[in-house]
Amino acid sequence: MIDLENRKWPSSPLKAKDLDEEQIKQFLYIRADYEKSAFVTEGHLEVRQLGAKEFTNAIPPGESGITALLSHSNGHIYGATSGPVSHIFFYNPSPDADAVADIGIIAENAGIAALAEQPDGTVIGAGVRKGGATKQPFLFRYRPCEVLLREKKFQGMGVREIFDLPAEDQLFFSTIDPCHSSGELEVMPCPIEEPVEELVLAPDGKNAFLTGGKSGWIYRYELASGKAEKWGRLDCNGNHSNRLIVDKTGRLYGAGLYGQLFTGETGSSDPGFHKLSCRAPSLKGCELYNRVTAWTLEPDTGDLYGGTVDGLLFRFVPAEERVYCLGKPAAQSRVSGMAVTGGKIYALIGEASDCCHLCVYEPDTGENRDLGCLLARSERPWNGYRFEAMTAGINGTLFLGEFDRISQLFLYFPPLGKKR
Amino acid sequence: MNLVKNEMEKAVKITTVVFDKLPEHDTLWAFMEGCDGKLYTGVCGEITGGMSAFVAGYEPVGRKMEYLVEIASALGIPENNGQATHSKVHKSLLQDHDGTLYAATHCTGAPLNDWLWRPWNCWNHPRKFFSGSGLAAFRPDGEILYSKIILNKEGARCMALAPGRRKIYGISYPKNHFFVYDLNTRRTEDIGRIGNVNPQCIFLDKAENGYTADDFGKILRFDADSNTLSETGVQIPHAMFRNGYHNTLYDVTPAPGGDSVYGVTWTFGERFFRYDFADNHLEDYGKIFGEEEREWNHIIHSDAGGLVCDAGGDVYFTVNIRSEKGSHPWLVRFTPEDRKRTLLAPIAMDGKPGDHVSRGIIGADGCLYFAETGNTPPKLFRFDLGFKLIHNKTRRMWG
Repeated sequence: MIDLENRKWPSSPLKAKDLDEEQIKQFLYIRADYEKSAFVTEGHLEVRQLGAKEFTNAIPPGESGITALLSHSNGHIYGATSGPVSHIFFYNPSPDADAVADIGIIAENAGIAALAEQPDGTVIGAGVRKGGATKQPFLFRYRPCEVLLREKKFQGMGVREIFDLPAEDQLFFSTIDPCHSSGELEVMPCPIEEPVEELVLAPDGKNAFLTGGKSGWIYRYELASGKAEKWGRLDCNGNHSNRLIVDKTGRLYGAGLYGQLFTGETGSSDPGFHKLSCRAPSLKGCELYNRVTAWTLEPDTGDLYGGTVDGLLFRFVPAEERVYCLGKPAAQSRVSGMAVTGGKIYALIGEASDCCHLCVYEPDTGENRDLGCLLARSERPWNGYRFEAMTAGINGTLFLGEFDRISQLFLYFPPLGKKR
Repeated sequence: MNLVKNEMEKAVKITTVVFDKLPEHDTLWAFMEGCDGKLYTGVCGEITGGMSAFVAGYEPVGRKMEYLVEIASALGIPENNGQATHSKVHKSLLQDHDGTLYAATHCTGAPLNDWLWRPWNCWNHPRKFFSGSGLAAFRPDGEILYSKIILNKEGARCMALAPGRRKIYGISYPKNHFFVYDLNTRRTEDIGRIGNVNPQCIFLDKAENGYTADDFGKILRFDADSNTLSETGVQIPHAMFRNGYHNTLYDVTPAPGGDSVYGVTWTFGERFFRYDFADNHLEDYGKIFGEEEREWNHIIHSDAGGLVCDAGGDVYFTVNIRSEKGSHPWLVRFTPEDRKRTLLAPIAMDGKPGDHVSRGIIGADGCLYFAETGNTPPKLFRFDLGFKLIHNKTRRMWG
């Protein structure tokens, strides 16, 4: 048995007998501040479940983990989930919608790595089927209603039939007939014999560039023919980063061993794929483990911003072929998403086991700040812990893809700029 | 409400069992009757930083108290090491049929010299983080069999023991994941997030499937054969003025025979219900006691718990009732035949009312015991109703 007779117990300042009124009030103020202080308070966060909540259930638990987001030129956000059943969905920001529509099922037991948009508005995605001993890569093509309408021939159609055709992907919350319209989904074969972990498109949209998760090869996939070829190798032993980015001029960038940057020209028959003389930054001694886990393009300057497995942010200036380390804004590691809005660079930082934080880098001032954990009150109270994707909408809203058994699409409205 | 003493109340004798060896501890959440007839509880220290939880055993017939396990010591994580402390055993104290006890820690206890702590603030703090729920397995005499951290930086809010399957089911805090701990392999499996609001109870059917509730009080069923969670299609009731959100489980107790359970919801207009496993049917008994409330109030004014069912099928519970003197707990008896609630007695000692009650037990001495939360030092209230209550023999295998 435990001897408790002679134990001395800690004391709490709250139990002090001579506390005065000012001290007591300060305890209460501190507690009130502390409770809120961990969460994002600059700007505003909301969530949308993956399905218009007034009319339908969300994409089911276990199938809703978001792993890819795309800000489409039509103003919608397209997203894909990974899990036992993988879905493609869109968020329609129009005032009579402001909700997510589940377009349909892409595949079963699949992980979706990325989405990209062709110049005509077609959405291209890449993923891996995880059933069985091998992981089979595949691509898919989603053509929104506006793309289908452009190809539509009206000969022989009646007036009612014609006017029932949707002009665009949309949610329509009429009091009489709530519905949504969406386009066509097609899964495409992929001759690559290893899992693909990333997809980016050349500016003309004819070729997709895919990272081989095992080999470190970047493959060029011709979307018209479905043929794939090896294009450039990031590392011979798989010490590479899966994430790729294409800059405004059509140059592709990726990272190999130690975060070494590589580049090649996507639009040329001779890509000139080569190693650059700069690396993504790393914590000292952790160079071997370094990976670039997220990229984003600053559209005004053409600079690229990246985030690493250590939680470090960096700026890469293509014209200078130079990396500037921006530091580590949060205690967490692994940058799981980056996006630019309002001239600021936002990053999601957190391992799968963490409480992920949203951070912001402001190029004008050089400030790099931790904004906090993700907590929304509307459309339902929800803490976000794990995120795998982020993108910026055309109206400046950031969209954050949660990855959990039950996942929400987070919307972050940055604060209005203020004069200093 | 006019609370007039009735004849029943006059017959009730109230005494307390005070944990006077733990004068700075402040809450009792876990409270269970062991297969040996002892009453086990986790004594927690939440207000003061740098404390360890203790597990104590009380023998009701011999009226003997034993402090069995100091949790921090059992886990090998000193309570004064500057980290968030293992100072709390929430609804996560269980006992197997062979007598082995399992206690898992929850988080909220601040590091030494601190008085405030939240997991979001300190998740990646280099020193003040919580090391994760620690499970201690021990014998009734306090001999530690083993201990292990079973969750990553999260606490265990509530747990249930499936002895036939050698599994423990639990809910993590703050991330609100349903998890399964395998007693054979000593590994934790994450089944996934169930919502944003932590339920306070997981209960079991005879086949040891697990049941809990999501943010809207929808009853979820963990199928123990397929290892999957699914909705049952049944929602626990909520007050008229609420929409079901944050109306999750607070306390659930087995009815005689184990084919159904009685439960109460958590906060603001608590509803009392019975859930039958076989036909997945829920019987709504309405507000657990008193007039239907019409509006929200401060959470501290609202509590119902300590549910326990005797062998005859009557249910005893406590409910905090507001009066001009404040919100204080009372003992109530529910008779299923006529759905009548009888107010028996205030939960108070020497004129001082209790704070609120988490769990209740019918002891081997025929008395009712309730674990109080919110006063220092912590104590049990013992109610001798003037006759010996006989315990419902369906063992409660959950916290």
